[in-house]
Amino acid sequence: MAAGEGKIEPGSAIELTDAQRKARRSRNIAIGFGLFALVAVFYAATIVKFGPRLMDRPIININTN
Amino acid sequence: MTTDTEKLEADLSLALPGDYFALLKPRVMRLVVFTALVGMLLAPGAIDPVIGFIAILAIAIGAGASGALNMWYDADIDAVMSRTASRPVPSGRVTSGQALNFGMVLSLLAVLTLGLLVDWTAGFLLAFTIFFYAVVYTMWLKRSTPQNIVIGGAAGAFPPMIGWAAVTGTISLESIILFAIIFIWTPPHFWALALFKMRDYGDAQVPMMPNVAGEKSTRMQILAYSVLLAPLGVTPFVAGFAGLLYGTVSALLGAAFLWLAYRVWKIAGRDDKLLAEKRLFAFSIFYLFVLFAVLLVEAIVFRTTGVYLFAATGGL
Repeated sequence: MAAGEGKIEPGSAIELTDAQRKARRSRNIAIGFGLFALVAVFYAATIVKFGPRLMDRPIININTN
Repeated sequence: MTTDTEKLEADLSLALPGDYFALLKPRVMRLVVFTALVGMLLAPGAIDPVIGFIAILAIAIGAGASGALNMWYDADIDAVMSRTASRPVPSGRVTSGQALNFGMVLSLLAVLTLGLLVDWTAGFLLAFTIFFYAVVYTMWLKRSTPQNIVIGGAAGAFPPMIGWAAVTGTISLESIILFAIIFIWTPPHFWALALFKMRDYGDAQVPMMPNVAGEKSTRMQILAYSVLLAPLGVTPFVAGFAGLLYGTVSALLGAAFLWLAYRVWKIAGRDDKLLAEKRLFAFSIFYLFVLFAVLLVEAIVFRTTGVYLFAATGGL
């Protein structure tokens, strides 16, 4: 990063109004909930589909014959 | 004159989550959830309740996504019609690009979720439904032919088929019958609305049947579709996947539907308030709701006790 790049000149940056800030925050929260729901859905489906069988497999195949 | 800073500020979105939720057409979504649930519970076979819930959720989100795509494309006509002028895109709360992205992302997520976690036949049907509603109906038919809602009605008729396929993984005669009931119900339902909202559609230059073929022809066609619908509504009973309760209710409501459609045709708009049309429109919603509600109750009773309400039927 070049020196001084992190500095923002007064007036040159986008300044959010309170309404914009609030709207963005509530959108972000909604996206967060949406992503969490997606993870929960895939987690629940995995458990339901595999269930206890998830553990029901040998880690090493040993030929018992 | 505005400075750059002010311009940038003005471009930033003020959209709230509620505006995006409105893009999903929640009222349509509610109907989709309801009919998909009926299809799912009527289907022979078991489905894990969690997987069933995920299926309904995915179907609902998929239907909502197609609503968002519809609002992206139709913002210009929505702005003209009183019924739709306050939707998020024409009112400026959400840009059309945002609506498009939102619709595309949700479509993909819904189809993949349904396909991966539930069933790929159902996933394919959901993808086809979204495509049909967004592309075939919204982009193509709606603005070009008065048969728009006849063919576009298929999109609204698919959900019970998707619900059915989520359980069985197949398309069968029973689910096609459920599809057909909603498909044939759509034209008289929408044309009754169009008859008393004619001016709106005319202003937006959407070729609805009354504006193109005239009111007389529209009333005739409403009657014709109702003649088809009344017996079709009873077929789940005749085909043996609904009980006597459904058979009786569907026959009575079908007769009432036919009578109201006959009144619309007979009065032919001589009543300035168009009461007959408004009555038929309101009743058409009640009709479809009650038919599917009875199917739902019967399916729940059948699944818990193994018998249909009020005796079994002959079957095909």
